[in-house]
Amino acid sequence: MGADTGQTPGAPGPRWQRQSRWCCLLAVLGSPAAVGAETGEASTRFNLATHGIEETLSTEDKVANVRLLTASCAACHGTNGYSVGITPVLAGLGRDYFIQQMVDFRSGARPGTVMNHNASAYTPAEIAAMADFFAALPRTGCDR
Amino acid sequence: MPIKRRRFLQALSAGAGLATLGLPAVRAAKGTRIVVIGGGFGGATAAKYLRLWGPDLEVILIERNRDFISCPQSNLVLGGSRTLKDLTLGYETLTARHGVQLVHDEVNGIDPQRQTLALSEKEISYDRLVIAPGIDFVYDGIAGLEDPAVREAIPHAWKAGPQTIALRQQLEAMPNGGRFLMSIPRMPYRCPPGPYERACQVAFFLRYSKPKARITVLDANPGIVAKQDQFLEAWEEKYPGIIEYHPNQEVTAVDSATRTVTTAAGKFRADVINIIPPQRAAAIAHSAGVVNVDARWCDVDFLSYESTTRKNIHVIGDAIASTLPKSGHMANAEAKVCAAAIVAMATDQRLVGGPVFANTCYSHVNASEAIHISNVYRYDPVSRSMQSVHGNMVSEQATRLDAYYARAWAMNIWSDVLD
Repeated sequence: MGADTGQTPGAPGPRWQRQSRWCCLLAVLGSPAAVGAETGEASTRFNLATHGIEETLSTEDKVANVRLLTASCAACHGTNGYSVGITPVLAGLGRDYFIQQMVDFRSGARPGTVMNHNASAYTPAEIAAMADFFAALPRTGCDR
Repeated sequence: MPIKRRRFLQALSAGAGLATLGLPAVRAAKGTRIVVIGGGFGGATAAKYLRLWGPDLEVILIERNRDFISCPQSNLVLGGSRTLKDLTLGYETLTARHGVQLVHDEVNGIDPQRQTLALSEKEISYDRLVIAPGIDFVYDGIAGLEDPAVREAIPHAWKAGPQTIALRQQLEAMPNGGRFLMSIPRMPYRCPPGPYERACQVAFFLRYSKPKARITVLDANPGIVAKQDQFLEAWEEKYPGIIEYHPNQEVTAVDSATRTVTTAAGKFRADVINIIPPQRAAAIAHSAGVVNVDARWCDVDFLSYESTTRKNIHVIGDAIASTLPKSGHMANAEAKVCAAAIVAMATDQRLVGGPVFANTCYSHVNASEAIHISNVYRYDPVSRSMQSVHGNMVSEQATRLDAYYARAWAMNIWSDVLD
């Protein structure tokens, strides 16, 4: 219960490690050529493994967990990302666009409220898996 | 089992990019019946997601009430900017869209050995049971509240419904110059910031309609348990001189005739009294034999929300003992972890790694401004519990933008629970 009672953030050790992984992701996304690309090349450009930042999640872990990971977004963004109002629809967002928003929320480049905090809690591999999940859904008209 | 698992993994890795969708090719044994008791934020979400992710499962949701009434935002009914009708929703879509079988009935008993439930007129069996019981109030420590008639006269209004309306009516009838007294139990209780939001909402109502009225807040805790600086700022700036806050004041007695509340420090008199009593997992959890922490709460495995005392019975929501706040948002998140685990078990899959989920909570300081707190929790395999990834973040102060997003949150979570 203590977690929501106004304590200061957690231990610096693990946080710093997460930070370093994020720096790698930011570096990958930071080059102008990588940003906003929506072509087939993007999938190789954003291949986290080739940049040495593939971490503990193996492919099957990602698969087993991505549905559950993205389900957490639903409370504010609707089931499967089909928002019923005010918050953006996540379903059908381009993979690169989704990743870029999470990176920008984390750096503060995109101002926000809750998302600046929440975006920084997820690992690069988790962000990429969530981006894939939403990108594979039709933008509208999906029966939840 | 190993062969099945290998085939499952091969099927997943075959689809490269789209594999991350993870739509399982493995199907649950036909007719596996999951019964969910309780249709609040946790139970209704569990029922929906069990069907969404396990379309071959038979899912029965048992709920005593015909309607879903949202506790989140119900303090706004006291403030006057929402009506209870705004917060009242139906269960029809769970059946129409998701095939959840709804049974509006009371569960009178659970037989874990035979895996059956006694409803008012019949018995039903289950293969796996999910209990989302919510909370009951503990009146033992407060002399005077044993009497059910007194509990009507002095409403808790901590479960949105008729008591919310009753408290609002008492406030409307209170004289200008009168005093409203509310008490807060020791943690843990449902919705940690809720009582402080309530103080704001009552102050908002009184400030305009009864400007001479005053508020006494008796808190059993040593201080404001959530969003402290933001609440204090709101109280000082928006309601100067209206709210008197007393920490470390545990209510021991209530006299409804003289309208007096007793704590170790003395007696407090008021015209309208609102005692939020101490809480525990609701009765059905006790009869299921899953209450094993402080005789009040249920210990669970945070990978599946299965009870640590009873195999085959899962517990979600406010009834569990955990590091997570007792909130509707958390119940919604826990329900999905529970549903994913049950679907995995029913289809011989295995969930690898631990869950990660977010909690966001908005507290309204008046009709148009709110404070948010957000936190992301990740399963920690060492302590086998959910731990905050990097602490919580609270708005610097109440804003209109947060109140706008509070609306977005409410619309979307209601839809995620019920549609």
